[in-house]
Amino acid sequence: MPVMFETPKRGSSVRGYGCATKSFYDSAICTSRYRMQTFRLPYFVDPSTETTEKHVESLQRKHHKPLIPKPDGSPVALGQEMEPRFSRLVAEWKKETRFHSSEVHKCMHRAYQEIIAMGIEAVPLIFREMRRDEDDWFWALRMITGQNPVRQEYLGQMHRMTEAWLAWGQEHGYVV
Amino acid sequence: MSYDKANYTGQELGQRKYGLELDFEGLTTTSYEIVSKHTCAYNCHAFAMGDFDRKWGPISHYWPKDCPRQPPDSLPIYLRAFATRGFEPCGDGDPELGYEKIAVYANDSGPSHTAKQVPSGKWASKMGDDVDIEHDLHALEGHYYGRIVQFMRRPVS
Repeated sequence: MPVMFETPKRGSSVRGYGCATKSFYDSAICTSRYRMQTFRLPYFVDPSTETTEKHVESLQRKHHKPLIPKPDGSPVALGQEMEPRFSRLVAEWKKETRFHSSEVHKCMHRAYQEIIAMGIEAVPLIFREMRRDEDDWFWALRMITGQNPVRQEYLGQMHRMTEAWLAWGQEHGYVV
Repeated sequence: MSYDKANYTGQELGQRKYGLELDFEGLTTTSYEIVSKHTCAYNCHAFAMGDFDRKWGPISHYWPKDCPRQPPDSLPIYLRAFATRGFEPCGDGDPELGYEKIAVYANDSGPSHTAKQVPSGKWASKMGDDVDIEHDLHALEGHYYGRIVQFMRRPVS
């Protein structure tokens, strides 16, 4: 049975636009939801307090979905087409912030923000990069996934923080 | 954990220095020395506090208990964090008998760097995820770290 579609306004998100079958409709919604992942939190939100959690919850409510979608059960396949752009942004970020200790300077760098804006598709790429070279990816991962697997006592310990995130990534199928 | 002494070969050392001098013009006109290998295990704030095992930072790294983490680009939260290790604001970076000093740098985006005074009277800095260096007080001021906005001191234990 054909599905009724809303007429999309120009420039609006995809919602059954031009679709003829229900499966394509589902697929379009799925894609649309992925695109909606591309948000970022203001950097001044304190990740150590419930402020962030509340903010993430409100975002989840707003987008009517959990922040870690796994529609096809194989999230590790995500992001492959983004790889060249991701690599370029990583190189740019590392080069331009390598003498910075300040998290604000590192996390607010344009390239870093662009990676966050890639959304969930960047997560497997970030994990791969983390395994290759430990760096400050924690904020990006928190913003994209809405999760924080790092125990309080390990904050600041790069190796332990990286391990915690890689274990989380493995558990959720983002690390191969 | 302590310094992993810089045992770069001559060529590596030259490359490191070249990279530093590209971003810190003050290093080209003053004497400085690379004193450790590069590492991301700690950052400049941790280094100034004598903590070589972790990074300090109000967003996702270690931050002293009961110290506010936000806004993370504000100077007062840094001063308060350093105060938990016995530092108090002081007027200048001149060597003072019985005290060790730190210098806090800031640019338009907020606190950017912390350097500490070493017994010789020079200053030591961890350069982001790169090397530790010993340098002149004002050699790191410029577009990258901005300028020194606060000195602090604490009695030498």
